[in-house]
Amino acid sequence: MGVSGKTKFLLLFLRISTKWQMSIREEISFIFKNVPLSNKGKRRPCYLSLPTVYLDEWRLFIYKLIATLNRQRQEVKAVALAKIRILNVDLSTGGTNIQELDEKISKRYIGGRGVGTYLLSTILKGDEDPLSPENPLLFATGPLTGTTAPTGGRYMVLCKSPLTGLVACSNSGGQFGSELRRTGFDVICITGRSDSAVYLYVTDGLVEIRGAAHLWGLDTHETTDSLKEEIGSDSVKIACIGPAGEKKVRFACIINDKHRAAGRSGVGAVMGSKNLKAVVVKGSHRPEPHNRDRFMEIVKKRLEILKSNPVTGQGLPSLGTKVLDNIINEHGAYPTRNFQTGVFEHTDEVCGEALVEKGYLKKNRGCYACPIKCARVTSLPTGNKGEGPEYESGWALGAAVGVEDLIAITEANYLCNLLGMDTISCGMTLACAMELYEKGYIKKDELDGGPALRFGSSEALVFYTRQMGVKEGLGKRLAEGSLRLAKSYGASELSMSVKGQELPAYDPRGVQGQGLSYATSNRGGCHVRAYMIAPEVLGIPEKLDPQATEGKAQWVKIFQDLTAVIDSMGMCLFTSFALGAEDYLDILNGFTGHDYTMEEMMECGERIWNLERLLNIRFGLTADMDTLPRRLLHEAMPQGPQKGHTVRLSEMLPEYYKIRGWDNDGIPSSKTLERLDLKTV
Amino acid sequence: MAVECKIFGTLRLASGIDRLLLDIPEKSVPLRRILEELGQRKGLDELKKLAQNRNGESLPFILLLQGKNVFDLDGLETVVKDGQRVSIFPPSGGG
Ligand code: SF4
Repeated sequence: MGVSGKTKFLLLFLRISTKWQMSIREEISFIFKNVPLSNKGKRRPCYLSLPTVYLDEWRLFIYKLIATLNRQRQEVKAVALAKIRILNVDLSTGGTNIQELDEKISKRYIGGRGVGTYLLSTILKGDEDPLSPENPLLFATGPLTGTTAPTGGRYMVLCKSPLTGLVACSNSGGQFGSELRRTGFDVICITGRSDSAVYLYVTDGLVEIRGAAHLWGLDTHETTDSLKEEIGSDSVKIACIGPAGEKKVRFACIINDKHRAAGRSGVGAVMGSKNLKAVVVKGSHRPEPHNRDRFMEIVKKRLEILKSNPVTGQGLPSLGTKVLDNIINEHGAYPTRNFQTGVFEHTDEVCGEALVEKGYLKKNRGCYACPIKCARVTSLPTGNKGEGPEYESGWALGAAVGVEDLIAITEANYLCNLLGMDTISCGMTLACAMELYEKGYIKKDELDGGPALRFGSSEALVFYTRQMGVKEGLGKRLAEGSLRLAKSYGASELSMSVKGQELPAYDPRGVQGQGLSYATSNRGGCHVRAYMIAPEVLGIPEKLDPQATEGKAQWVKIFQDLTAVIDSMGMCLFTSFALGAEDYLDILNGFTGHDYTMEEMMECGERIWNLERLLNIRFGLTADMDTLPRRLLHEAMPQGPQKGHTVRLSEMLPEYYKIRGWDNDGIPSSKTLERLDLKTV
Repeated sequence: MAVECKIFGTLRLASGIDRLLLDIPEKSVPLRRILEELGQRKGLDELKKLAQNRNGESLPFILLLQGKNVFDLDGLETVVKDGQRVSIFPPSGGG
């Protein structure tokens, strides 16, 4: 490209500038600090703004040039033991900067979830409105993200949740996280609010804030396709929100790579509140292990374990997570019609086996560097195609609302992905609405002409799922989540939620330890903070009696701590069906070159758990919120193998507090804080 | 006696059997016997191996008798009676 006129002028400045910032709205503005004005060495800042209409021709050229300059100036290399690099973007001002995390902190919090939580604790005072510009939104990768470690493609999205008012911390896979790490940034921390719709384009060591008015209103697939076309590259990776995030549905999610979701706690609504439609990443820096040969050996050994283990090598690849439908239903803990019972009489019609036998399952697919490949690629006789349903989604849009029509379930699942909504909260809010309707709280005239909100109605399922996502009619009220909805009718007990977040697909009346895990989860109703189903139902790593309460507190604590480690490393929790704590220790030390002992690594998990707890307390959490819906504590399971049981939480919770080193009010004691280096928080 | 056997997961996909009624002359048998019987069938040979493996209890097969995990009862020696239901899952996980 020829260089003349304005460009030449610009280049002149660029070549001699030492520091610059830029932002793009209707115009592109460069702020050069320290520009030498003459040969005598006089320097001053220089501001330059040009309307974007001029830029079409030479914008790319300038970007390329800036990228070169930038690379020369800043070695953007994600090497082992390198400092964690945080890209700060303030959408209110358009300003950006790079921050390096103190190594002591990185070692203490590992990365991903841990480092993200640490950063939240340094930013949030406590009383911020989750949908205000003050609430930061973090995309955080772990040390293993983007490496060859099996399932090393996971990342976390963190903020204060608009659904629970507590810590939101949602994990996702796909290809986005690994690509983000390759840009040379480990964490993107987004604050403020843009005046108009924008998206971030992050490449090797560079960030651009670009206009996204033309993308606003598009669903997640349209957004992803448009961005790839606009950027002219199929290899960029994209995380975006759909209409639900734009409209701040309290359980809106962030969808990356079209089919993977940072699903829970409303992280998509926070992204929408910032007028941020998408984050696009493209990088070329492979994270380098501390000792490549040794790390490759460690990885090879773990890959073999994952391949030969019957769960991760066979069960998950062939049937995906939906292998659980029958297991949990036969066990009598498959929550049906808003947890009114634990046996769904139509499970045969909607289970994972049926998805295969009916021919809807086309193939399995995996996230980055994943040998397990549990994702389902499906297509329906209606002609629609997509991914899912997974176990949780299939249940929330199936048994939870009493629907036995696998096509409707899958369609509703596709809709959630397109609109950008968490399937669990969506299904369970609908289930709550159905119970409210059947019990006479929601009146017919409130339906705005929509279908009757009856359990089992596939018509209602698909209709209200859409209404929620676009906030129309009754959807406006449903978009607030089940607790706010039920409360508005004076019937909060019909919301099957913990701390305001809807419960997932296991009735804890049949799995006591899972009940404790729900009640104490730092993000409310959630199964992936301590997956007690593994020992209590599946017999992994050993079989525990699901109705026993003794010893469960200790199990829950260990699972919570280890899960925090796995999440922070950037690996998928599903590896833990085959791998043990020693394996994670080996992988972590092997890549980073650190020399964690087992105790130290587990202490990191415990530290992260306690920091989340402290943050929640700062946000207003009290011990009485460590509980379950009344139904699960006081209404005996009416039928099936778990008939007659309730959750005996009071037999486990005090012990749990004690083991955690918390006082009777659930507050970490000063001894505990000292031990975990959390005194200053 | 007659025992209802339900087969799930990859075992079901491999054998094409989702449920069958097993007729056994005895009045009650240990679960191990039932697994041996089922293991004769095509696609279910893994169950034979499971029944033969004396340490098989530690394998994460999920075997439910009337919805109760037999490993919380007497493992493969758990007594199965007429009219009861056995659900058999290969090692599975998800979430
Ligand atoms: S196990 Fe499934 S969810 Fe986990 S990384 Fe692999 S494909 Fe993704």
